[in-house]
Amino acid sequence: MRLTVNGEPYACSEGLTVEGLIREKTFTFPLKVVFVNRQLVRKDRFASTVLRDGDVVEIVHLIGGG
Amino acid sequence: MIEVTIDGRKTEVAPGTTILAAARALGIPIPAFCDSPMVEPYGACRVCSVEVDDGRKKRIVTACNYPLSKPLAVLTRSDRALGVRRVVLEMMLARWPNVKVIREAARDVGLTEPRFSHPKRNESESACILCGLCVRLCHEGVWHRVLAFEGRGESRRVSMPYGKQPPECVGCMACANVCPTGAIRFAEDPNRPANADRIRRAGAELTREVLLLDGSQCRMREVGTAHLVEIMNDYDLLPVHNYRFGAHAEAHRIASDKFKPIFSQGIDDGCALGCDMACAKAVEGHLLRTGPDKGKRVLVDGPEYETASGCGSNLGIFEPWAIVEINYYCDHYGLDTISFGTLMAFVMECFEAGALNLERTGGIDLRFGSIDGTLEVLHQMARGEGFGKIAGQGIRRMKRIFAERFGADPAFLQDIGMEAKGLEYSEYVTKESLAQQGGYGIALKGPQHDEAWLIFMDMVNKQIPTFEDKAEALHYFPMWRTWFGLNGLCKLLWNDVEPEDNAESGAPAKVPRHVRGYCEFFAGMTGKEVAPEDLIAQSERVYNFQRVFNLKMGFGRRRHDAIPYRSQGPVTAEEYLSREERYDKQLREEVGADPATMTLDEKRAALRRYREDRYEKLLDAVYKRRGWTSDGIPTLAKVRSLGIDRVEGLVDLLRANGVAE
Repeated sequence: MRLTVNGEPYACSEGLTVEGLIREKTFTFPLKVVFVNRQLVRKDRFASTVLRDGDVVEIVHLIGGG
Repeated sequence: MIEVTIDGRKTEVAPGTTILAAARALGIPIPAFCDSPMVEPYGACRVCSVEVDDGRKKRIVTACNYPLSKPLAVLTRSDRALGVRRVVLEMMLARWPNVKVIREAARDVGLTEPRFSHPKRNESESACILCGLCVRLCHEGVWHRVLAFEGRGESRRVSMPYGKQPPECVGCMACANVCPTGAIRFAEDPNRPANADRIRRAGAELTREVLLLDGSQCRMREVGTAHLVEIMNDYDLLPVHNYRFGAHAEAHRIASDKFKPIFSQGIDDGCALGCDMACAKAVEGHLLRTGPDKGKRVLVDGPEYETASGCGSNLGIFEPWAIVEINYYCDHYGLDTISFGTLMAFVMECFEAGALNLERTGGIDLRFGSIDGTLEVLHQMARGEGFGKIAGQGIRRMKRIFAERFGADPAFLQDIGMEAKGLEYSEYVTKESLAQQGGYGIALKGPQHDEAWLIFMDMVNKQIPTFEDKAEALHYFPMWRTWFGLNGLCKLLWNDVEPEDNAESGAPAKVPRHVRGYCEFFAGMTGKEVAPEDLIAQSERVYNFQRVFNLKMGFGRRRHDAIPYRSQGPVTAEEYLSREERYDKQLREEVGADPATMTLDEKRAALRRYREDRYEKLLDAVYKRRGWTSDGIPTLAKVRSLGIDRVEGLVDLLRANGVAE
């Protein structure tokens, strides 16, 4: 299936969760905020939130950097 | 998960969860005076006593420090549990009859007056009830160990050494904020704030966040900024071999888990006494292998991320001991580890490219990864001898020296010499973030990221796609970060710990709750009410004044904001090929070229033209947003609106530099 992740097209397999997407993208920075189709997904729902074809995902990394 | 029953209600909890936490999660209240999520459970007050039944026998335990490990039935209000609680509370009530938390808990078990009196009866409503929260927070939270108990039995009391406030106590007030009775008060604040309570409330909020959340966020208390080594490597941002690459297969050897075992743990912060984040880490007992102190065991302040990457990956060095040794001698000699790391990376690339050789370095092998060579140059630098005397002059002068004396290609040296305004770059690869190229290039004191760190917003989040978006970020963040400097505050507490509800704040990158906290701090200190935008205005005046000062000193024009191409894109063919897919994609999608029909040299040249042009457009947008001329100088209208035109000579200086009405 195809997603849009941070404004760019992203191809992935069916059943991918938010947590799985974060792992695939190697987004290891801890301070992140995730929106799926503009809806906030809380951290404790990353593992149970399954993405669907066409979902627009924003994984917003907070500033960081000393 | 373990199934437990509390007052007849079934629940599942993770092993190790305390009875108190499990009960609270169900909304079942259990009184507890000595418990706080910020410190380890202690079991001091015994008020949380409950009865547990594991099917074989029943017994009384304290809920706060009883970890659940098997299925149990818990009765929080059985006759036996309430009986124990009543005895404990009656003794407390006899000694501290007017303390609110005690009276409330006593009333809950049917007690209003004790049946006996206590020889140390204390009528105060804010008496110390010896719960130990203050002592434990000072030890476990602030890691400061100023407060302690003295005496035993009924003579026990909270005290400081010799009963006096030692200079080590900085009045962080974490103890007062956690006290359940209000027993700790600040007699006199030498800083004489307008409203100390407002400052302390803001501080208490940060203490709570750091102690509860840092362990699952940035782990600053464990490893300091060194946690960024592995993260930057994951995002292709870790400088490797003079910023040629952003990741390295060996980076795991200098990741934070390699530093944690050698960092002293649980020690208060050497950078700011009383800071709960305590990210300044130290290595104790490092055995020096080189230099004048060879053979000695020393204490090393660091390394932080910048040192681990600048004196590690950027030099191709992946040995923690070597980074610690370089860190020690930089401190010992009074050198900055960032400048040293970055200039050595330049030297090493020059060595590998043939601009330097063994003859020119006095026989020192300076290929990437040379630990011995790096340390030898460092020691020579301090002595003012040999090649170290040249390297110690920094990249800007080395570029000239290498060209003049050694016949090196000045254009190549300019491209790979990571300095601007004469200062060496700090340790992030900026090739894929135009905003951060500007963040470095426009920064007043040279390419350091104290003003702006926008790489995630720009490169990863794609939140600031247009020149105007980037310019807005390059207005707000440098002004906001300047405010910390103006007030002598550290910015790490602003954005290296995040409130639980930050995601819902509407502008999480700005961490609005923390910005409001700083407004409270400012108002509490000065008595002057401020809103977030007032803080930006404070900075803007200083920032623009500094830009004019740069102009006066010969560093305040557009040409001084120029940056080396290494920070913008791939200088060498090897660099291009290492990320060929990425660069070809940009040529195809943004430049409108067809990389399939181009030679490597053509592709490099086309990419370079495109990226350098974008940097110039970024400067235009930023200067416009900041109210500067296209030459990067504050306009007369701008300095007047900020009120800094009253500074003697300022307007004349601008006019003399061609700024017209």
